[in-house]
Amino acid sequence: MIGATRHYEIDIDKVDHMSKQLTEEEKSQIYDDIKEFLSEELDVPADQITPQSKIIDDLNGDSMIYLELVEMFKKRFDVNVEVRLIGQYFQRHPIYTVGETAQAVYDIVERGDNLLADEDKASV
Amino acid sequence: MDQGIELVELSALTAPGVEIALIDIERHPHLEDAADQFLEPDERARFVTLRSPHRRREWLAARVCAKLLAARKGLIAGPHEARIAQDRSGRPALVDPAGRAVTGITDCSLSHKGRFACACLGRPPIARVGIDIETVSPRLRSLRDAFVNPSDAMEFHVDTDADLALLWSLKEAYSKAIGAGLHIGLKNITSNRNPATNSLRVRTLAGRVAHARHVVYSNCVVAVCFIAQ
Repeated sequence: MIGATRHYEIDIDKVDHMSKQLTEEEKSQIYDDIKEFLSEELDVPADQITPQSKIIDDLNGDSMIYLELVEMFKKRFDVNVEVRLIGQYFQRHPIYTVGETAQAVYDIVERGDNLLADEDKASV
Repeated sequence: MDQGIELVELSALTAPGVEIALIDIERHPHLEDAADQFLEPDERARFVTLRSPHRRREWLAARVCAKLLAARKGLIAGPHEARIAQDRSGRPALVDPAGRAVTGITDCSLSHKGRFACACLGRPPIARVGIDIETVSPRLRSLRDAFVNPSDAMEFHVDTDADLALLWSLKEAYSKAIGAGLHIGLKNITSNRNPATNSLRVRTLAGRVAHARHVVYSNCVVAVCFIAQ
């Protein structure tokens, strides 16, 4: 499943990684893709996966699965964010469920390298 | 005391102050029946919230492994003399019923993957330990750019599944030993061999140096990192 082709209607020339806004349709597609990925990788029927499902405790995922998901969407949306920055984001926003993972992917795609910039500004 | 549970002692990984054991979960299909004999009330409360049967068995086996290892090394009288507590970051600690660190144990680390669960206990002069187990599989190929440092390629065959699993395990074990997660950036962790001893050293550019050992056991890499006091 990793690297499988999924077509999103994105004009790459218009993508501004500083302020990319995903549409509700794109977010819905991302959530569905996360669910499909987890279903295939963890051998769990898709209809048993909900936004509240805990990836490790309920679906028997591991730490690697988070990185696999992030890398998949980074490539798909041509987002270049260091893993270290994503790790810092995870530290501030602990992620356990499928819904929280989807939100993290939205943030990574929308904010890119500015993933933590707004929060850092707010805390100054 | 131990319900006939077989602990595999990975002697290739042990060092002064580093105790390690592994449980082959497939050899103990009825492990869950013994859960009450190994878990303290707050551990049982957590155990029953785990919905995945695989996850439940792995979680339990890692705790059984740590407690049996401590008991067999004479550090606790039996499984009910200790429980695995976790701090806010999820870092485990072997504590007595009153919540105090078990005397003689400086650190504790757990890992599980598939049919195996393992535990590592630190004793003086070791202050910090981290253990990780990973299956050798093609799964890490797609993540190579996310966690392999260019300098790793000088020491390891980063185009092979075996060395990718080794590097992943070493970096995970190191991040556990220093109490960090992904935020230190697995790519920033590097490893090199000490030609004099043929042992491994793992570190970040600005971080502490850990000694490391590894073994391949039934198509899994088990890596341990330890830092002296």
